[in-house]
Amino acid sequence: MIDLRYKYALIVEGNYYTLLRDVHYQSKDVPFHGVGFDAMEDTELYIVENGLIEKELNIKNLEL
Amino acid sequence: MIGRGIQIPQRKIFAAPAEDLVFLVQGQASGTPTDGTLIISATDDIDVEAAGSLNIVSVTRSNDAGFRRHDVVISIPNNESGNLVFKDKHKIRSYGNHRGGAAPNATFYTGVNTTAPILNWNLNDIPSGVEKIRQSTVLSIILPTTGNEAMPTGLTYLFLNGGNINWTYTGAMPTGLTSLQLSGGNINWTGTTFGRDTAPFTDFGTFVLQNYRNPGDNLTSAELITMCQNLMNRCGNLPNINIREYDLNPSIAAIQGATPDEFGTTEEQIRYWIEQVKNKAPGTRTFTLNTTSI
Repeated sequence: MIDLRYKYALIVEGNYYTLLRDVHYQSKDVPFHGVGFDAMEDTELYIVENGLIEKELNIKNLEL
Repeated sequence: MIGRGIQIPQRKIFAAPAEDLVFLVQGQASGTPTDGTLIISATDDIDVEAAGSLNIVSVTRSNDAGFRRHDVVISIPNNESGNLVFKDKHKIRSYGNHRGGAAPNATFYTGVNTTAPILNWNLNDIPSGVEKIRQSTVLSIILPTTGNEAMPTGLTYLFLNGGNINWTYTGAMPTGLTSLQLSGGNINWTGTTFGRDTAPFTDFGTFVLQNYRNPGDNLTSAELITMCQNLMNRCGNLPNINIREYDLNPSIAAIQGATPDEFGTTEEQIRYWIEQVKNKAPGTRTFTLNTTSI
């Protein structure tokens, strides 16, 4: 059983990205298809939420 | 001395029983099955369960403007069936995402029409706390939809767009509705009443009726006038109005050529009420009838 919790997660679907907050992912056998992280500092990154640039966020230790 | 007190029976506290929201899900007859994704938002995390041959591939819960969005990915083998069960249905606030004061932008159910699980959706079984419903994709095979009853009284947003949405309702829309879009091949809403007629003031954000009547049951002139009068009864601002499936009696040309008169001929009355709606606050809106701007 996969049971993951992230403060933030970036989901990539086609040509756009969705930022999810306070994420809880559960599955029997399918890996989480996004990038989860818990802190946003240091690195500047534009987050595109549902196709629209929402805000500029600082993400720490993000491995895309 | 210790006096004798009155013994108060200890009150037992019972938790409210969890109520289930159950969707019948069926597999397709042939082809290679693919997944379907169902999205709801609720006041809290709720449990999601599968019964029968249904498989829950994954559940992703995330924040949604103060609510908790649930993305549920499901699959089912061909020619088999099962149930998708949401516990605590009274916590559900939207079909599709909610987004608080903004319009939803994620639809309730998506999948490949010919291969995804067939989700049977009964509009008569929507939990009473639901405030928004967005089904914006044509899913004529995988989303057979039925219903003939009123929407939840607290509904503020309704967007139904699909070739297989069979909602045949004759009554009023919920009084708090602020966004209305109907465009479905089998929708037959024959009501004419919607929106608030008392404070608090709430603006209508979107008003589009473009595929909401079955053939032979088009909008009559009397119903059009009633709709306009009901729009004028609202306290808040109006958006651009887009109404189709008017029965063309009298014709669009006759309405366009008529002098507005509340007590005149039918076309003059229609023209009067359309002008009233256009001039209602903020007073800069358009009124499109059967694709023609009046």
